[in-house]
Amino acid sequence: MTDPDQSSDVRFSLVDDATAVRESLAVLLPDLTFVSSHPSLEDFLAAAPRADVVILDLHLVNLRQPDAAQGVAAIHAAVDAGYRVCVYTQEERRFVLASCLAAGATGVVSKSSTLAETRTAFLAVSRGELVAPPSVTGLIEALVRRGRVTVLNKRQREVLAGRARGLTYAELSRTLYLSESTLRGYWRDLSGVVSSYLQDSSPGDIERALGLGPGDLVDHWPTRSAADDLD
Amino acid sequence: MTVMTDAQTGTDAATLPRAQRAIGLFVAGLRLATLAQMLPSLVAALDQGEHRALTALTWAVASAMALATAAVCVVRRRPPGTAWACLDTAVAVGLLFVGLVTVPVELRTGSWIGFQSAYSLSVAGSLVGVRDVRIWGALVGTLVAARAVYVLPIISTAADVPTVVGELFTMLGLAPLAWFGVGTVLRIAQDADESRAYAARLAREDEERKARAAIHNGTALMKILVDQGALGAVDSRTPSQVWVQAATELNRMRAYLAGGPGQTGEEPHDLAELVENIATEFTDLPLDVVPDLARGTTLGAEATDLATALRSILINVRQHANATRVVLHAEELEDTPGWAVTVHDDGVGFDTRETTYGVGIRTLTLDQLSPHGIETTIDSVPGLGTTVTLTREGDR
Repeated sequence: MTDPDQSSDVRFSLVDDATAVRESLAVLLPDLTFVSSHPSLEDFLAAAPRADVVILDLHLVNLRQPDAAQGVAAIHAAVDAGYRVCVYTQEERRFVLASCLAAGATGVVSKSSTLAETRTAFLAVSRGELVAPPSVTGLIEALVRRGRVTVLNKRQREVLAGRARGLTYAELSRTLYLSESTLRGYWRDLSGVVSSYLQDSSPGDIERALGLGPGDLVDHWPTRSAADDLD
Repeated sequence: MTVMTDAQTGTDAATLPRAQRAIGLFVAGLRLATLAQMLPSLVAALDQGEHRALTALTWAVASAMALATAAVCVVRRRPPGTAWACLDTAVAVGLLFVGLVTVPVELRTGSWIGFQSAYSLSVAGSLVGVRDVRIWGALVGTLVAARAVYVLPIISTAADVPTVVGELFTMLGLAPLAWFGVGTVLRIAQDADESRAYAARLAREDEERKARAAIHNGTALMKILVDQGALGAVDSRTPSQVWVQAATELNRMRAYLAGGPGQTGEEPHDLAELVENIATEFTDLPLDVVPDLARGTTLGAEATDLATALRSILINVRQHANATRVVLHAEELEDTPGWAVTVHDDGVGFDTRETTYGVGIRTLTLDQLSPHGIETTIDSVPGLGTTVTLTREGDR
């Protein structure tokens, strides 16, 4: 069986305006391969490193780079450039985090996570697994429950429900009598479906599905014009 | 995190300018309405008497002044100021005096041919924009005196006296009424703006207080850790309690950054609101709240006991679990009526077969919830964490 946490030869590149983060993350995660680090997305795109996953900070504007692209526009641009994106951020608001997934990010990881959690999350993103905190997974569960995401099978829905409640694969394995690797497979399959739904749906559709008020998501949700602003 | 909108801060929604605009429109309407009442009598006014040209001039001046005053109100978005009011009054007084020549005595009351009397009343009503009581009093007094000169010739017998007195009392009654009414409206509007500004300042101060509380202890702890790190002793000699406190402060800062609803002080009967409210009391925990599937799920008498139970469970997590992530999930059941609330932590866990529950779980959770038909299940594995599920099946 393949160790789901093995780092193998996945290449990461880091985009973060904080020098301390750029200089330290590769040191703190020594078994992950960081091929480059960049203070801005513009610098990253110009360098075009051969990376499988770009670890992207959500807020990149500072006094040194006041015009830097950031947020969903930066995610769009990185995805359009052919990279798999993992947002690494201190942002905690779940609608903002969900909007990152809608913009094409494969995962969102909190900077407050432990190093072990961060390493596991980065590797999960490299395998194409959707990574999100339970608060965001709960939004996805609500969309599934209300019939907006319809092609999930029973097992996938059970895995989604467990993840939305914060259960680990080890705990789910005990209750569902399935191996952790099987559960990860279900999660990987549903990741693609959910990502497609989020990227293809309008904020209005999702607001209605979640019972939110009109306009609650508009301020956060990505639009293609946001990405165009970068061009 | 509280974010004040423009409406809340009053930047785009000040009440005083809106009140002034409404009063300005009232004055404009008053003048135009008077003009509209005058116009049907214009032909009759020109046909009588020997001062046809002078009569036409008074009508033209009155009409022009009424239209100009209305325009000033609309453009300024408030009633006319003192300078315009003085001009308006002077014109009205002039019209009253010219009326002594152009309007026959018998037509000075009860007829729009002698428009001067009603016109001067509308001018008196337009003086509401003059907020200096002395100037306003002088202007109204001038109008009353001029109007008295205009109508006094009516008196030929004692029976005519009440008519003249009534004419003058109309102005003496209505003009102050309008002036005091407008003053009251303006004061209310001003109070509203001041109250709005006060509320915005309180909200801003509360936000600053929360921000300070969120980072105050964290800053001190980071200082300790940085100082110890400079001595190369972070891992080996830092007291474990400092690390525990550091984790607590980190969670407090995360909760502040995450924002969310504030605490209301009473138990809501919407399940989603209830769990969100309770979460605000545990900002020191690394707590994720997932309430989406419980929105619109109404609780009955069990709300209070459910809230107490959830607090008890989260206090247990705080005291015993040493968790890095806690998830509070609420849902309306999918296949059957009812609801469920799940509290999961990834802490140390325990062996449910060997552990005796404390007062919190036994009394506040199991004993109090079961009479409501709420089933409590506890699943825990040492090293993996603990899941407590509260389930209420069936219609309420």
